[in-house]
This record gives sequence, C-alpha cells and structure tokens, in this order.
Amino acid sequence: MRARVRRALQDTALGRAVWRTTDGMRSSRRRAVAAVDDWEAKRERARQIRAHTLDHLDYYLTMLAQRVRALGGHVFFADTAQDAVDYVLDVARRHGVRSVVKSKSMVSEEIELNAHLARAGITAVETDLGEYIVQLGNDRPSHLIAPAMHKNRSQIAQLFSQVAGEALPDDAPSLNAFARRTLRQKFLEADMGITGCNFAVAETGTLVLVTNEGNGRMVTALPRIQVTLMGMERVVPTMDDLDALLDVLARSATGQKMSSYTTLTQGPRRAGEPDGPEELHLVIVDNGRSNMLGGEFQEALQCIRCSACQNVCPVFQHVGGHAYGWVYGGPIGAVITPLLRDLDQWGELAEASSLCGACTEVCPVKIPLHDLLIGLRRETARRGQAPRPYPAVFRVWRRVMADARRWERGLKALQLLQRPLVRDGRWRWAPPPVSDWLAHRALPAVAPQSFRQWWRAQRGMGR
Amino acid sequence: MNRDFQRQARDSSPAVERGQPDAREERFLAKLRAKLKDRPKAPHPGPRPVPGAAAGDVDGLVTRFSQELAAVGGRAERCRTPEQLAARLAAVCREAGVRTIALEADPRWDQPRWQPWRRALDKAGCELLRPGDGPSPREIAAAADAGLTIADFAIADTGTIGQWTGTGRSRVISLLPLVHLVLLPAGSLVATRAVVMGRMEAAAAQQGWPSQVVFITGPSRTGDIEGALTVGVHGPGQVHVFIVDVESGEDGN
Repeated sequence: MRARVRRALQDTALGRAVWRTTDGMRSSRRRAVAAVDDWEAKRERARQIRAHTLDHLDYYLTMLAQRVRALGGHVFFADTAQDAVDYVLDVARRHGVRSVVKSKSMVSEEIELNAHLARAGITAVETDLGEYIVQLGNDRPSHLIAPAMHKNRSQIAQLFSQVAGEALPDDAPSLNAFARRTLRQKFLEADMGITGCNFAVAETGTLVLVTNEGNGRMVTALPRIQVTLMGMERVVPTMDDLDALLDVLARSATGQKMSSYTTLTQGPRRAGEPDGPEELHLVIVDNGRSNMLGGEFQEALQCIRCSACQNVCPVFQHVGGHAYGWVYGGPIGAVITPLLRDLDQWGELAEASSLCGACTEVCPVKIPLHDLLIGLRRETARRGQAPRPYPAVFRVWRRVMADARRWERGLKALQLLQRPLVRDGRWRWAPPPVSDWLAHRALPAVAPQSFRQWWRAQRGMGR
Repeated sequence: MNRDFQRQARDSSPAVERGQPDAREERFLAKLRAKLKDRPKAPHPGPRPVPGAAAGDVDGLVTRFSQELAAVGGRAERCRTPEQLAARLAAVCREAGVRTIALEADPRWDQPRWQPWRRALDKAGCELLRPGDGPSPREIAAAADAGLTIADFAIADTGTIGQWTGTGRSRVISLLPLVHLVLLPAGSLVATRAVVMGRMEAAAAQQGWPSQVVFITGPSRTGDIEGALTVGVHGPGQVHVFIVDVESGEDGN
C-alpha cells in the first residue's frame, strides 16, 4: 500500500481531480441534507431497516427468490465469484450471446466478469460513461459513483479518439456526444444486458436500479436477456422500506433529491408489451460477504454504496480510490476489502484512516465506520500482524499511562531528552519512525512545565 | 399488502414455502442461517403511515412541480385546453427543431376523454410516428426527434414524472429520442413519492405490479467528465411536460 500511496501523492493532477470531485459532491450533499428537516430521523429509519434485514437475511432472500420466480424470473445463488461467472457464461452460451451491454455493477468488478466474458469470446461494453472511460483505459474505477474521476478531459479525448479513429476535440459536450453515438449502437445490437442492483424488494420481487444517465433503463429495455448481479445484502423487506432508503441514497451521493432515473423491475416483459427482456436472471452473490454476517463487522453490510464516506475522507481526498488496491476505496473500502478478501493480506488498509470519524458522521445508514476500522486493527494485532513498532510502543504506553508517577517521570525524561532536538518550541529531528510523522507535520515540544506541576505551584501559592 | 411476514421475521421463524429450491440454494441459505443463529435480532421499525391522498390544491402542486423540474433542467407548463396544447406543442417543437414525434400504442389514446388531446397532436406541425403492424417502437424511437408519452403519475416535491409498462406501452419512446414530451394529467400530480408508492401498492394489491415502473426526474445527465454536468448522455437531453386538464377517468388517475 505504501508504494501505491506514494505514487498517488506524487501525481498532482490526480490530487486536483480527486479534490474537485469529492469537494463538489461534499458540498452538494451538505446542501441537500440541510434542506431536509428530519434528516437524522431518516438516517435512523434507514439504519433500522438495514440492520433488521441483515439479521433476517436468509428469510428475506428466500422470499425475494420466491417472488422473482413467481414473476417469471430465474434466480441463482452464487457462493463465490467463480460460481457467479460460470452461471452468467452458461446463460450467455445457451442463448448464443455475442455482445453484452452493462450498466454499473460493483459486483461485476469484484468477480472480474468482463475479463471472463472476453475470454469466452463475448464483447461486454460498459455503458455508464465513467465506466466506459475506465474500460477503454484498461483501468479500475476509482470512486463508487464517479469511477473515472482520475482521468482528465485530454486523457478521455485520447481514449475516445482511438475508438473513433480520428482526433476528437476535448470539450465535455463533444466527448459526451461521441459516447452517445457509439454506445447507442451497442445498446441496439446487444443480445444481453447485465446490470447491478441498488436494492431488491423481497415482498414484491422488485429489482431497483438508480442511474442519472439512463443507461440502466437502456440495458433493461433493449436486449432480449437481462442478467442482474446483486450483492446478497442489497435486499429490503417492503416497498415502503425502499422508499425510505431512496430518501437517503441520492441526497447522500450527489445531493439530488432523486436521481434522474429510478426503475423498479418486476420480472421479464409480459404478453402484449412491445419491449423489455424476454428472460430475466437474478444472480445473488455472496463472494465473501458472509464473512461479515453474524459477527462484529456485520454493520458494514448495511452499506448502500452512496460514496458519502469517500467524499469526506481526508485520506481518500489525498490518494483517491486506486491506492486502496482493489475495487472499493475510501473508508468503506478499507473496512470491507480485508473482510471480503483476506485479512492477512489486506489488513493494512485499516491503517489508512486518521480515525477522525467524518465517515461515520455522514453515513446515511449509520455504519460506525471508524469503530470498525479500530476493530480491524485490533484483529490484525491479535494475529500478530500489526505494523512493527506498534506492539512495543503500546506496551510502553500502557505501562506509563497506568501509573501517575511513571507518567511524570516519563515527562521529565522527555523534557530533558528533547532539549538538543527542539528549536522554537518544535521538534526538528527525531529517530524513525517518528521522523516519518515529522516530515509532514509539526510536533510541539513537551512544555517545560506540565499541567500537574503548574497546578501544584498554583495551589501552593493560594495557601 | 400483507405485512405479516415482518412479524414472522421478528419472531425469526422463517416458514415461507420455497419456489424451486435446489441443494445449492439450501446450502447457501443454511450457511447464512448458521451465521445468524446466535445474533440478537434487530426489530423492523414498522411501516410508516400511508399519507392520505389529500384533496389537492392543484395549482399549488403545479407550481411546485414546475419549480422542481426547472431546478433539474426540465420544463413544465400548464395547458388547460387542447387548443392551448396544440399551440404550445408546436412552439416547443419549433424551438427544439423537432420534426418527427414517436408515440406509444398506449390504450389511453382510444379513450373518449383523450380524443380532443390526441387531435391536438395532429395540429402541432410535426409528423407523428406510431407503432403498428410495421416498425417496432424501438425502430420508431431510434429514428424520431422526440418521443411523446402520457405520464401515469407525477411528484411535485421532486419534479418527477412516472410511467409504467403495460399492453402497448413501450420502455423506449421516453428514452431513445433526444427530446421527451410528456402529457401529464393535472389530476395525477401528488405531493410526495410516498403518496405515489402508497397508491401503487394499493393498485398492485388488486392487479399486481407492472413489469417496470420508471421514475423520471429531469433529463439524462452525467458528471463523469471532470465533474462537468452534461445532459443527454444516453437518454433525453430535454424533458418538456405539458400539464393537461384532461377529465379524470377509468385509468384511475
């Protein structure tokens, strides 16, 4: 991770781009939330719905599967990424699918579906504009809902020009117009549409897609087969619950009251309808989520992928999403990546936080993100994998803090030791690992008189 | 709708009958059940009261709707008579350079109360493309300058219009053309999304949910290129709503 962070910090263009995106979304969110008078009540309801659903996840998934089937859809439960990929490939093969259009799906990023489809000779095109740019650049999304925020206009113009076979101007309207023309053709030709799933309503078998561009509508209107990939935690009990979650989703994400398009899909097209898919498949994916279920990290599954925590995170603002190394960046990524994948390998992500708690404060479903990060650090330490100086430093710290006399002796020792290192009340040099910290920050010197010493002196004078 | 399952879920006694479960699915669900076995169960907060369909101040709703839609880049205006609609539609189409308009095979066009409005379209000075035995809605919509639909509901609070699928109703007339023209019966306008959801649930209790419901709030938009807001990326770049005073009738609006 250190290497990725260093690369990100050296990239000043990236720094500016991340700041622009997160700053814009952060202020939009703030305005939208301020305009709602019972925001805290809405958050609390959203949290309760998500917590209740997760505690009864087997029950609601059973109900969802039953309702989707009653509507004429197919349902498949995928334990692993491989199961999900195999199922999609199988459906594609059975129908002789050659081309696929996709709307945004983070699950498909997790399971690297595009690469698998390509290996099977099937062309899959991302149709969310940001995802399309990311795909052309052979890249990964760097933000939950602004996946191409790390690319600037001229880089995008270059990518598009390669597709066009001619040089395109690099203003946003021209680039959009090119994408509209190119992707329109893909929509009309595709045999299969693959979508993600913002929510699924158990009571009614409804699959919910929220988009601003309308690509989610295209993908569920034009191809003859629809495959929806759903993280198993995305189910909600009722339409009323869906309404409560829609209340907080768009506001937390882009600050809109409602996204441009919200579609509720109940099964494939019916007799007498001129369009929509003839066949609909719902793939319910675990892929590591059950690691969190029933344990101290279950609340992380409440996430509705709004990106609010990314936009307020001081670490994310400096390094962007790629520095987190996998599909999910920011505070939520630092929590779920180690848990979805492998704590031994990814546990260091939990260090990528100042524990300021800004993420917890904005989360629309009240995930205690910074508490979960501390929990992960604890778990990593328990496995003997904490960063090297930590155990020794904290052992000393514990001994010193547990005894007032030791504390005072420690302070006195520091007052003496710091003398050659301090100038103008600040530390100028320190041995590693404190030197890393000093490279970017000022460490005030230990005061010549501690509060306790001062207090004793005051009391002595008063008497 | 029946909410008994919420109580059942709180008691944590999953007893719903399965669709077509196979061994894999049983294993998947058993895995989740085992993980959750010892966990205390969080209660459901319960349904919110369904907001009453308060007999509306239509003018107030129209004003609110128009403001909210304008805020997200759409336009709305009221047409009290078919003559007004014909004149305004002609003006809007001229301004937007629309020469062909795609229509749905919406059964409402055959209802008597819609006839005067249907005839108003003929006077808009545009060629109307209708799906029939020949070209499909997708072919018509892909070729037309604009698509025109009748909204099933609208939400003043957010400037949202809504449509559902049904016999003859297409998913793409409101999606493929660069301009979306909407006729919104003034009586279908309500204050909040919660009212719409309540009404849809009540209707669904009788006849089930349609295959798709779409909420449309302004034009198709993106900020994916350097955060610059651009409209018309995949769907319409312009949404123009004509709020029409059509008599209320059999489609429940």
